[in-house]
Amino acid sequence: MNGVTVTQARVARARAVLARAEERTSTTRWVRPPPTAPAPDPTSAARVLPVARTLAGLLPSGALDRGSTVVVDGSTALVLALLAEASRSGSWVGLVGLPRVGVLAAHQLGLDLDRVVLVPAPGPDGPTVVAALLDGVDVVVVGEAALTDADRRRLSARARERGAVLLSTTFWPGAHVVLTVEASHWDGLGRGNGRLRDRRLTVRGGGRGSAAQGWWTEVTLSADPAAHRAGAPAAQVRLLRSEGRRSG
Amino acid sequence: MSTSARTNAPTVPTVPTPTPTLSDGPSDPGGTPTRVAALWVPDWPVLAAMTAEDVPAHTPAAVHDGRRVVAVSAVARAAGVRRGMHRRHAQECCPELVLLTADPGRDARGFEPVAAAAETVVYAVEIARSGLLLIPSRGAGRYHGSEQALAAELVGQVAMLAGYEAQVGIADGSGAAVLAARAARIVPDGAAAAFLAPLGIGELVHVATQDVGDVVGLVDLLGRLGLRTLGDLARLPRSDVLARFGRLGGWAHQVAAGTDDRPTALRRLEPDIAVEQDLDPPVERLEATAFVARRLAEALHARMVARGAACGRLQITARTDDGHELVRAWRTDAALGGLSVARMTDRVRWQLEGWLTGHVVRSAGPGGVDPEPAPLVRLGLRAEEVVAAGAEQGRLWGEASGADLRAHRAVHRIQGLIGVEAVLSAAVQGGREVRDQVHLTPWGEDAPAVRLAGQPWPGHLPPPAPATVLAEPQLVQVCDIDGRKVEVDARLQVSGEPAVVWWPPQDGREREAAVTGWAGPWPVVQRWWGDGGSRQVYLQAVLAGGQAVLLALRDGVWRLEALYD
Repeated sequence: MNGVTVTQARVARARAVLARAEERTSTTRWVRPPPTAPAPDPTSAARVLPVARTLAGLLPSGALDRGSTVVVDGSTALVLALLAEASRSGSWVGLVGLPRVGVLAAHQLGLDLDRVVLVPAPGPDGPTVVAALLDGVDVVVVGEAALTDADRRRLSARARERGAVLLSTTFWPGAHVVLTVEASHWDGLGRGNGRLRDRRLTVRGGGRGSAAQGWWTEVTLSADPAAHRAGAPAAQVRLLRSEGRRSG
Repeated sequence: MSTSARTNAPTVPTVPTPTPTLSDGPSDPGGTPTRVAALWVPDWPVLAAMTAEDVPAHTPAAVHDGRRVVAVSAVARAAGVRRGMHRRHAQECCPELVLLTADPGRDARGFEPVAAAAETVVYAVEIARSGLLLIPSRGAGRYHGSEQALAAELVGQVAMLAGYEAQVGIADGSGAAVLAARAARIVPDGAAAAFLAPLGIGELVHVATQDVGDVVGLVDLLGRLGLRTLGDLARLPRSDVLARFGRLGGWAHQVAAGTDDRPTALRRLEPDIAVEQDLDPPVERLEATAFVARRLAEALHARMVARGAACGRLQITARTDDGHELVRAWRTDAALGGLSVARMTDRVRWQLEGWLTGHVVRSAGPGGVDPEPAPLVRLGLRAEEVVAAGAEQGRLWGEASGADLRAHRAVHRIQGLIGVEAVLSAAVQGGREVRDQVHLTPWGEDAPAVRLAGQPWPGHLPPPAPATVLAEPQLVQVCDIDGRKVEVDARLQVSGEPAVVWWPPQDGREREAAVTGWAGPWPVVQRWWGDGGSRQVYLQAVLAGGQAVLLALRDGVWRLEALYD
């Protein structure tokens, strides 16, 4: 067993040397380094909140980074779908200033309502309420709340410090990731027959840092509870195109 | 439990530690179970209902579950009313019969005084079910002189303090004790098997405290197999009974043979612990009260540590100098380490922050709104629902419970800031309309859902549910291609295909959107037989631009109910 690994290590080293030599002498244009799986970071699980596998393509890191601020503009269903996996795996969710959120839809998309706190009308104490929630729960969704830009920056800093995710449905200065729903298409409805079934959303992604490079994705949300139970993918993400900094 | 019994031994009658055994493992046939006293109040559901409804004791009364009579008072029984009768039949037997509805919650509440009365005689009791107490009797009997004296004392105290007549039976093991209580007998040590043998197999039903339905089925089966008495069952080899009837059969055999050695699960009530302090001069500033709160919290904590106790609720009381009393109770998580001094101080501070700065805008109970901010003259802390520390413990894998604790703390803090009613928890309940299926309650309030979610609810809207539900439906107009309003007739025929949704002018602008796809109309006619009846038809529509909406036609008016956004 040991002999085999030693031999493999030798072969890999020899190949790497050969590749470097070939590259230097331009015998081949470019040699792809041998594919190695990136070592799993043991602390990474603690630093992110999982999102459904099928929605991971929407976010640059494939999950909701703790301490980050995310804006999802244009679809409440997408907000709820993004939170479903985290909620199911034990995270708490606070919904502040969303008096019109469909709790039934949240349930059907997979949120565990036992761990959902609703503050429909925070009133003039909006900043304090959001700050207090950031201390305690893992994800705080902020809708219509009386916040100034300075409040928003302070709350972002608080989320970063507490390792919570701040998710806004409206503009938020300095958000790490901004997802904007540009177009939406429903399937299943005819003229007088059928019912709403699947929904295709075209989402433009952006933000700052590594997310500054914009991207477009297409998401299919199928909010059929039966599909969830069967373990079928509830949503599908397809990367349409990634636009570089130059073009964007 | 046994530890606390031992530590309290000098002041209270000692209780023998019940032998812990595996309830479903084969027991040692040679060992005799602990002596147990059972205190039984006959016809408890009727007595509790009569007390609650103020029915005089000489009136015949019975409790029914909607179809049949489930419990009968002694007077009614003398008139010929029996358990299992139909209501009509019972009224036929006894026309002046008072029929009361069954309510297990009322039975349990009403039984609390009986348990409290028994606790004045013995150190701890187990409430096996409403109407039945189990008490380990060896030590208590020794303390009171003899088992007869214990029984007399129990019956006397329950009659004097709670006002109910009870019967006490004492025997080896809880099963035999329950049956001895029904016969009001004290079965001598080691004679349980002989006492049980002639009793009918149906008596097992009275012993069962859970899975009563299964026990009834088992009794029926045993009877059909020719086992008429408990003695018949006890004579069979235990292993065969266990192999044929499983765990329930094993339990029945144990009871029948008088070897039912299930340890009694005792409860022990702890009195509340309170500390308070007068504030002279009156305190107006938050920092000063927080200082006092810390001292009080330390005193309370010290007393709780000395008692080895944790509490389920912390009540904060403050009196203002204009005579108002401000009271609020906070639920604490005893399972998660209880209350440290710092956390108690935090809570008092959050609470006073709201009171002193007048931030709280909520109704203070039935009295009205919270009084004007005023200096405080007295501050008190009270630990309620006191339990022995260690009776409740955190989970083995503590991380999740830690997160729950943090979340609960945050929620309580917000409730202190903006009012209890402003923070909601949600649950899904049964119903047809989108709003009906959501049950919103103030956080921490225990209000069960009105309608069951597991039922089919024919006519409810198919999933997906709309992600945005308007608090107030918007008035809109749905027109067909010719601009006429779309009507739906009694046969659910639409007068024309919906083509345009038009919003009435708002801020001087009117808005309309073309309908690119629609489905319906789906009728929902609810509760037409009573108040709150409604009839409406629903329409799902996709508007130009890809937005999907839910429209409802009610009383001839179209409304926009929800958005699928």
